Formats: sequence, structure tokens, C-alpha cells
Amino acid sequence: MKRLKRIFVTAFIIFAGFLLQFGLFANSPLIDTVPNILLIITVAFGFMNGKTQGMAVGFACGLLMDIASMDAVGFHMVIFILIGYVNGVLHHWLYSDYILFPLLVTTLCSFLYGGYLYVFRFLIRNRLDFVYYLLHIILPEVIYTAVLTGVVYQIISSVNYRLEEAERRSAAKFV
Amino acid sequence: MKDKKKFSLPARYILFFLMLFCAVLLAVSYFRPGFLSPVTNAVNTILAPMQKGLNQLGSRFADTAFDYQSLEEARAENQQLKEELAALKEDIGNYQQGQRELEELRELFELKGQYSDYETTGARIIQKDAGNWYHSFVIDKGTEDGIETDMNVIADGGLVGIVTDVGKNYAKVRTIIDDDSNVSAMSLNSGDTCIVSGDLQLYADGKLRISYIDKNDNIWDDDKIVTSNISDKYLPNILIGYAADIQVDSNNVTKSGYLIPEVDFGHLQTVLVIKTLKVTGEENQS
Repeated sequence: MKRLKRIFVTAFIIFAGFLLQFGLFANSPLIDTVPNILLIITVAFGFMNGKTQGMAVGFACGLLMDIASMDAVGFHMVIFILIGYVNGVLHHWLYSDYILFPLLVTTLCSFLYGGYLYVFRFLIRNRLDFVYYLLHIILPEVIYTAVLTGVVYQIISSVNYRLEEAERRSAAKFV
Repeated sequence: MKDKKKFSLPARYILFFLMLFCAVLLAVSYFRPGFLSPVTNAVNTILAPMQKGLNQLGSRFADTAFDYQSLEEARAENQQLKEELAALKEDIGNYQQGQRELEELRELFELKGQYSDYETTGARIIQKDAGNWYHSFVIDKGTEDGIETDMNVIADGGLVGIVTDVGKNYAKVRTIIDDDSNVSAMSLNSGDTCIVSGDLQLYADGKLRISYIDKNDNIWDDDKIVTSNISDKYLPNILIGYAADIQVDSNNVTKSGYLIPEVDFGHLQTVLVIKTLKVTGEENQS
């Protein structure tokens, strides 16, 4: 029951993030760099709740990215699952309520994601000017994503806290 | 506690299986393209109306934001525009003469009304790519409206791109500025062919790349570049843009340069899809 609730809430967060990223930000004429909200969500769940949840959320987010961008299915999934897992590992080392660590981790993962796309979509087609791609595409995306992390992570964190509270209460009731 | 014990499979094994799963999916996409498209099409068909709604919401926000731009800015602009208008009025005379000349020449080339020969349908852009790496977009018409893969897309009288993927109520269009796009083109003046390719790096300057021009071919700066009649997917004689900065390559065999596109890709809202497909000999054979 409580597990079901958690799954529903998580699915809702992912879907809302997806619509925000693809529907609103990607189409907004005011913003020409799209922040990667799905990446923030993956990092947040991996970082807060460990490897398994990180991978599950990464799986869902990657799948949505693949389907919506009509890319080869699996391409974004690989990197999102890996990011979810790595953050699950970091959970044991760095997790605290302090916002600095998730911010740092999201930024690093955003770089990682940009590098992955560069290598597999551009480098293999002989586009060698990495510095240009780093400065003009990866860096703006990282900055936008980092700015939004402050907001998105706080929201997910408070939702997660409430879910844990509810789970603990219902567990106490049954015992 | 109980839940945790139930799922005692170590995370690294799960990771391994998931990676394996992704590899299989990627292999399927690579070796059997289109095998998974019923699934992706179904999901996208559901998502399309939502994106359409959010898109409208987004543009409404943007509009209101623009409304609140300071009045002073508008006033200064007004003054400036009045001055510009006076200068432009002078120019109009010259252009009218040029227009007449152009029409005569067009008739000479039998190009008049070239686009109106094709049946077109208007479509609204409902989603641009959510990454910053690609330049493609999704329009709100699909197989229901008779859209098919490989149909050419135009706007403002210039080539925008080509339909690469169609669902029931949406279609994906890859623009010619996409890093992956290559269009077989030619100079309208001389008929000499070249390749127009998108380049993410050049796009920031609003340019595309022209390459594979023979050194002795007659393609010069400011030449009108149109789609070539030997292209196997693009219909002939659709305006792409104007050549610029054509120079002989270091190999001394070919020339290359830049192309200024006719279409303003930064502000596309609606496009026209040409419902005529290019007919090539190959299709008849297969």
C-alpha cells in the first residue's frame, strides 16, 4: 500500500518534470537553453533514496527522453540509469540535508550527460572541436540545470520527507 | 523493513541487467529500425495534445512578458522606425524595378508559381527539441492529415526541413540546420550542384555550410541556392538561401563556403508541409 503510494507520487513527479521540460521550457521563446529537469529528478532520487530507486527513476526518465525525442530507444536510458546508480552510491557517502552536495552532484552529472551526448552524437561523426561544444552547449545547459536544481531538489526532498513520515507512521501502527 | 528484505538482489546486478536490456533495445533500434516505433508512436500520440496545450500556455506567458516591456523602449523604437521608414521608402522604388525584372526572369525560367503547383498543408509547431543538441521539431499534423515520411517542409518561401517520423496526430521534422542534415542543392543561376549541410557550430552565426562544389563551377557569393533536381528526397527548386564566402579549398579541387538561410529558424511558429513526394526511379523499381 505505502509502496504503491510512493510509486504513484514518483511517477507523478517524473511526468510533471517531463511536461515542464518538453512542453514548457523547450517551446518557450524566452529561453533558448533547456534545463534538464529529468536529470535533476534522477539525481535527486538516486541521491536521496539509494541505488535501486535511482536506477528505477533513471530508467523511466531515460525512456521518456528516448520516446519524446524519437531517438533510438535505449540511448538516453543508458546514461540516465548510470547516473541514477552513481548517485545511489554517493548517497552512502555524502547524503545530508545540506543543499550544496546535491547541487554539486547534479552539476557533475550534467557535465557527464553533455560529454556522453558529445561523444556518441558528435565525436563519432568527426566533430572534433570539443571546446566549442563545451562552452556553447554543455556549459549553458549545466548552468540552467544547476539553477533549477535549487528549486526542484527542494520540492522532491520535501515530498520524499513526507512520504517517509507517512511510511514510518503506518509501520508504527502495524507494529 | 520487510520490503527491504524482499528486494535483496544487489543493486549492481540490477544495473548489469538494465544495461544489458538497454544494449538489446539499442541493437533492435539499430538493426531493425522501426521495430519499436508502434510503441513510441502510441506514447507520443497520447502526449501530443498535452504538449500542444502547454505550448500555447508557454507562448501566452511569453506574450504577456513582452507586453510589459517598457513603453519607453517602444517609443524610442517608434522614432527609430520612422527614420528607417523614410529611408526605406526611397529604396522601394529601386526594389519595384528589381521586382519587375525578377518576374520577367522567372517567367523566362518557367519558375513562376513553382510552390503553388504543390499541394500544401499548414501545421503548427508543438514541440521543439528539449535538448540543446538537435534542431528538429514536432508539428501537430500526422497520418490523419495525410502527412508521410520524407515530405518537404517550407516556411516563408524557403526550405525548412523534411519529415522524418510520423504518428497519428504528430510528425517530426528535421530542419536543414540540424547537424545531421545534408541537402543536395544547386545554384539557380548555373545549375551547378553542391551539398548544403547543417552545422551546430555555424548555426550560432546563422549560417549553414556549402561544400562539394567543383572548383570550376559557377557558384559565387550571393547566388540563390535551391534544392537540386537530382536530390532523392527534396523536391527541386525550393529556395534554401544565399551563398556567401565561397572559397577554394586547400585541396585545390573543390570550393566551399557558407549559406545564409532564407528562413528565420529562431522564430518559426507555423510551417507548410508539401504533400507531394519526390518521385525517383528507384521507387518504381522496388
